[in-house]
Amino acid sequence: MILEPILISIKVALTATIFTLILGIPLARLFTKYDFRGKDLLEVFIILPMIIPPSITGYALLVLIGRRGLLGKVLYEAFGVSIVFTWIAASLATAVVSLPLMYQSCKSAFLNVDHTYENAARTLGADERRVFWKVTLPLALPGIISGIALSFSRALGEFGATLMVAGNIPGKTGTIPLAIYFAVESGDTATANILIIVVLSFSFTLIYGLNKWLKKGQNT
Amino acid sequence: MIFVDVAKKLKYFDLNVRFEMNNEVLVILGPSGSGKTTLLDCISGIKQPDEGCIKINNSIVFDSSGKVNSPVKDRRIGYVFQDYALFPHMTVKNNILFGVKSKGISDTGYCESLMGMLGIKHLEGRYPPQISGGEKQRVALARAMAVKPELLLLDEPFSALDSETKQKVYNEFLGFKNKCDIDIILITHQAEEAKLLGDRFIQLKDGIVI
Repeated sequence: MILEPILISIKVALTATIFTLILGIPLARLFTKYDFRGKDLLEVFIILPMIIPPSITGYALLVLIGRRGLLGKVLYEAFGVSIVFTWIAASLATAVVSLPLMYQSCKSAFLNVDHTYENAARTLGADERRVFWKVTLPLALPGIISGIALSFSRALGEFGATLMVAGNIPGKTGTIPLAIYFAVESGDTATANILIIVVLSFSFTLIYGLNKWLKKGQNT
Repeated sequence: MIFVDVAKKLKYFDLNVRFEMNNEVLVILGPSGSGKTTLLDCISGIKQPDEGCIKINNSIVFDSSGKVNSPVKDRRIGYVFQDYALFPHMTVKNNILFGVKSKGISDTGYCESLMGMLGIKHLEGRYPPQISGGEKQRVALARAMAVKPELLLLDEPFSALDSETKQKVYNEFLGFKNKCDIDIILITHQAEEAKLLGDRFIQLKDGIVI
């Protein structure tokens, strides 16, 4: 019973983190390397879910992927598929809310890479792809790993947007934060306390370990 | 034969330099902010001149009238940066092999002999933060030479070294110069260094040769 929301949360948070990583790295690279029309406006849309109430993000996603939504209608009519109130919808909502953290971490990681290293690689005959994979990305790695840890922690704690698009279906979409809320509401404080300890211990260990690792990297 | 004739508008002055060199060490002497590094960046392709022409042996790598601007990777130039720019996440050996691998060369024998010649073979498994300034300078030189460039650019490579190490490295450089048949442009702001290491030197001030 207690294990169920933990497993769902891990599945949702992992999927969301992978999604934000796949999207966050190229977006951060694009926005730090190139200038194009509408760049500032697009960047606001990426960061917006970090500062607006998650319920608004959830509502926007419902308008998009709900059965009568812009994308949801197409999916339902073409394939008979509806993703609202599934763990996929929970992952999507979580990813949208976590993406700004991943994007910001990757962006500052790329901005902190000294261009002299990239230029040195070019003078040594490396093409732009090799410069990125062998020089830029490894040098930006500590920042990217921070982004992964922060996004994963944020994904584990996501509540509002998830509730709007995935509801709280035990065994299906009931993540830890939802399980805590409904356990407290029904007076089951024992379950709530255990889940709170699990989340706090995990997040504390993750951030503490990350800080130690980053500090060690700076000293070597 | 190297031919450089570049003009570039900078923030406080215009860079206007023209020179030729033939199998020699040309020292460019000048105070900080006189356009020395920008000149090297233009020759290597890191920065683009507004006008001019750059020829490295038989190939034109930049020509504003003919709209030629070869990318940095194709210019066959070795560049030792002021702070060496050794990749901190790679071992000394991988730093030196980086260019060789970029160019798809499988024979690493030349790199091995370079490391032997510069006395850095014993450092191959170490990372740049674990070696001294003098060692970094030799590793950077080996890395730049590993791709067999036709022109070697050295941007104040001795400025970060203490005076004792400097004297040792000067002697090593003179030995290296005699062994390698390559054009070298060395930047410095120290007149004694220019006289000691160069076959010829030009003085740069506010972007022009004086």
